[in-house]
Amino acid sequence: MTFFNSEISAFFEIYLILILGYAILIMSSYLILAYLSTKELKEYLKKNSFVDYEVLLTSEFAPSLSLIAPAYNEGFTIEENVKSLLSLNYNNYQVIVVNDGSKDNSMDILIKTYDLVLTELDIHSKIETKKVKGIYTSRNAAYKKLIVVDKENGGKADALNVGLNIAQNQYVVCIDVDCILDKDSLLKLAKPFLESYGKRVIATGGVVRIANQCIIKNGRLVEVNIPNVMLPRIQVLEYLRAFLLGRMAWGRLDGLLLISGAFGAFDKEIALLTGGYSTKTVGEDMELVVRMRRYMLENKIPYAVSYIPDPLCWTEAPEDSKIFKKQRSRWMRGTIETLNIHKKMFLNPRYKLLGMLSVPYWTFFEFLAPAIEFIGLIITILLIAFGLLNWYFFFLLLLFVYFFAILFSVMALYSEEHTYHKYPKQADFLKLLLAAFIEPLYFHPLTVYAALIGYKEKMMGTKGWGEMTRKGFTKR
Amino acid sequence: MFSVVFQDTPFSAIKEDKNYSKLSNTTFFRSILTESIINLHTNYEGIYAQKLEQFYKESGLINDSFKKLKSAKWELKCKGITELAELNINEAFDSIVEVAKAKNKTLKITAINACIKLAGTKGIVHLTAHPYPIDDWTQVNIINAFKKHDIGDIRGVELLLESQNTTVVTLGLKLIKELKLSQKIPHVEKLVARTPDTLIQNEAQNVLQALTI
Repeated sequence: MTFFNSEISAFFEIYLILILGYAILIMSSYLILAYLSTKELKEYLKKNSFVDYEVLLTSEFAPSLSLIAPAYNEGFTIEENVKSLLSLNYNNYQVIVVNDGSKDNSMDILIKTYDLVLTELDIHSKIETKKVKGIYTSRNAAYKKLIVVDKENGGKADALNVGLNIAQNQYVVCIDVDCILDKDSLLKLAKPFLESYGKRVIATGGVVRIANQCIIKNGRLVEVNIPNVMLPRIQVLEYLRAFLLGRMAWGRLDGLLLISGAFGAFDKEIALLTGGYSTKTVGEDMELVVRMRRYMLENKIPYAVSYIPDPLCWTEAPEDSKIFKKQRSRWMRGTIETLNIHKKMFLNPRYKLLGMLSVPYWTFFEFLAPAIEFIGLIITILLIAFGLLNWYFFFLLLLFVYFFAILFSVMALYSEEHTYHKYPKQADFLKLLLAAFIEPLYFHPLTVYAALIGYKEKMMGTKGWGEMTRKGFTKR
Repeated sequence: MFSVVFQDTPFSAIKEDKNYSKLSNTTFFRSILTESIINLHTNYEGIYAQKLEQFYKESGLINDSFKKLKSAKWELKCKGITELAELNINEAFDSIVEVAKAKNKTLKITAINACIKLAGTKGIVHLTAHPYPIDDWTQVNIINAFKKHDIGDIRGVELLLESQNTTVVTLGLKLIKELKLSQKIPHVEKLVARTPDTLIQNEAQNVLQALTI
């Protein structure tokens, strides 16, 4: 029995050393990324104060863009959403709305509102997709930028691929039709495509923010508010951390793996050469970026992926924990699928920083973290059961982790306050601060649980997105 | 500033003001004053603009801008250049041209824009010998500066076509096309005949087509 106990103690000790090493690694990586992000953000803002984006408005050399907006059962908001897309500050663009076999009256609304008629458009189907039922353009010259495609249901990736096949411009901007875009978002997104000489800019992405309880007027965000419901409120904080303290750093290191599916621009030629969006994964946004980057590296073509820290796109976050879990389990499945498809890149020096740092980082700290946390919980219960837990160190460690999480959120809040200052009301700031204290106790366990569901769904072979219902924005 | 612009109050009178003389030594006041002058100058033309320029020089604020221009920090240099160019300080041209040769893109764009405002095409002919590639964003900014400041005298644009730097040649072609400089057609034709670069040749032919239709 004594031998058995010493075996158990040795096992737990090794486990504790490993888990401590993992925790130190993950926390220091957060701090390093936050430091790099802050530096990059400062530099960006300094440079940006001398930039006049309006030069692109009148220039015939502004990159030509095709906005692709897949829509599925968006009848309730589609009229206004399309209007908002048609009134962005940019000259050289077209809007392609792809109705992905909606079961509601989206198509009827579009036809009636925009005076659409069937048209013969020359499509070069470079990517195989579900059947296109019809392509519509408007009889009204005011909507000449608009193309509406009606197709059989095939999912978001399939709808985006139809858009890629139809797009007539050099760059495509893939967006969620229900997102609220900043009026100058296209100007900012297009600039990096003009900037790089000798390197081909294959993608640019912008920051996505949470729009729950914000006031929307005529498809534009007119008042920024913090959600009263705790779940979306914590997501505001989470998005701030991810975009201001994470992706900026990856952008600086040139190791960005993900450009949000809600709003990103891509070089159409490279996107088509790599086969467009994959319909085999629910993480099609991340998978496309990784595949495009991989293609450029394998063909030794100098390239860049650019990232803009300005809040350009506002989206609705799930308010209901059921929907939230669905979303996060899908994100986890997407991550697993993407990492699996591109496992060849893992610690492969051929893929430079991407293979040596980005992919391993995502593997260890995004894909494996929830599993490690769950195992940690089980082992803690076992330690208690065997009476081996040192309660003093346990609470000390718990407090350390808790306050580290708060500190990191406060850093994101501080960064936001000193840069974009989108939440000017003192009450809103305090609400976010309160959320930082609640998050580790409520939100974090929920995300871990959702990720575990994601693992399970992946093992069971679950495919597709599942129904994602939204509440809709507050309108004035 | 109201009395300077609208009441013809000379600087000598303002200088006597106790509050002014007390505050004029503080950096913060001087920077706010410069900002106000710049804002007013962008909104006024003619005699009012001239009065602001006069005040800027007499009050010594011009020296602050020159100091910024000589600063080691690129962002301060940019600020100084913007101020000097906005207030049409032609004496700053030579120093700004030197800065326009910088590798820092933001600084380069700001300096070139200022040079164009102060001296038209003379502000860009130095690009003929520019050692670094000029990206599309910089080119769009240069073209916009010509349009914005309504530069009428376009002598020397053709010199860009003789550069060894292909991005400078491209810029020259874009300028000729955007400003519809049909008098430069012979220079573009010469470029088509002499350049071995097929990309440049195509661009030049496009320009010829656009100008002759």
